[in-house]
Amino acid sequence: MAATSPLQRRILLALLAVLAHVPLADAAERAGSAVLLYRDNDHVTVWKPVASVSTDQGDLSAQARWSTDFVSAASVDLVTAASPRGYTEQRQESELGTGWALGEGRRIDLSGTVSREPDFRSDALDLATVWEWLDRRVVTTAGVGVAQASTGRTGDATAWRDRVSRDGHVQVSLVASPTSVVDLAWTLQDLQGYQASMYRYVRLYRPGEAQHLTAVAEQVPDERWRHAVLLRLRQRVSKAWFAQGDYRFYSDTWGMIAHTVSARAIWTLPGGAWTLRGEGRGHSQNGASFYSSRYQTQADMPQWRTADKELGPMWTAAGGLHLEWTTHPTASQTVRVGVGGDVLHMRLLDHPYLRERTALLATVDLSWER
Amino acid sequence: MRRAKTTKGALVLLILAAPLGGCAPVPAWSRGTLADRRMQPSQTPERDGLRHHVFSVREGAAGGDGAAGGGCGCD
Repeated sequence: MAATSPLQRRILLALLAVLAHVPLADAAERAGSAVLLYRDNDHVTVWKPVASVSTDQGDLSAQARWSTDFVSAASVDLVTAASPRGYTEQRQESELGTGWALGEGRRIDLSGTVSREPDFRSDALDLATVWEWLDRRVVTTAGVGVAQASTGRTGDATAWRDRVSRDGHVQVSLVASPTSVVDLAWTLQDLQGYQASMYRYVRLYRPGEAQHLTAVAEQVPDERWRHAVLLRLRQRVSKAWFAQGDYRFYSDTWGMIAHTVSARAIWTLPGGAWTLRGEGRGHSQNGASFYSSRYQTQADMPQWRTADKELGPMWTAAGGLHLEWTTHPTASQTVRVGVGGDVLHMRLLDHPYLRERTALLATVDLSWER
Repeated sequence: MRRAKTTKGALVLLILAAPLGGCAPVPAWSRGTLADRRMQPSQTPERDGLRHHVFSVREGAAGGDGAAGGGCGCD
């Protein structure tokens, strides 16, 4: 594991300072961690641990989160186009946040996130307010965020390019019945600046020829507006059964439109100590307007061209189970241990080298709260 | 044309959600149900955040759930 960076040490010290000023008696506290192993049949492996702590003193709350990625990739398009031997790298991300109660049912939250990897760095700030209305039957959340990111190329100190993103989000949650809650959320994001990858090269072909003539740097528009609308239903079915389902509509100014549905069923076994959760998810998207699996050579090269398979048409399907064990479900202190597994299948509908990809996601999670 | 489709999609969702605007009164006995951990959008925030990151990296769409993430996800 890499040494902690000076910035992360400062964040950790700031968190400890906040916690030191919060009397722990009568406070709600929580600590959680999880580890994800992602492995797919395209030779990509990711280990990703995450840990978080939070304390809520009523009028004041504080939370911190840290995560890291260990990515090992030798994907077919990387091997054939960008990195002949694939690559291995690590990314770290830290978040520190605090919240203040502004009165009965009103809160404001502020958080900052720092992300670092060898060829990418990002600093983000988010501000959100939560208001409860009509005797807590309606809860509204509204927030704004700004992030400054820089993308580079390992070993080339002159190659860094900047990107700024601004986003806003609004969510309304309302009690539709004594056993159901409906959420409606909307997110708008404006991205300005460099949004391509310095590692991706686009192959150009002469008409009718199978062998590419040359490869040129990926180039995409500097501006991208993205927005998404989510509608979710949360339902208590019986004392032991709960269910959730949601639908998301997404579109952006690069011409992409996507539909995503997901469903979750939660079953607590008799005794209350064991909970089984089943989850399913489906996603479909068209490609960005300038995406092509095969760019032709011509006198005037296409201004926008990409080799990013995530910008192409695809559908994905995922499903999995999560089993959780809870110690003393009714006690003042609770420890939970969970294991889960998901299978994610991706079908790329217009990609020159990769038609499908199947991944296994395995997780272990642990939390403590009082 | 694309912008018109986008606006139409958002309107359809808003229209679908409109009948839900008449929120129900909540008797005291059901407060516990609504506050139940299994009613929350995420029961295991750390694990769900990890899964969510995988989906956002592997797909071209993101957003809609108030979550923010970092990283270029360029593998």
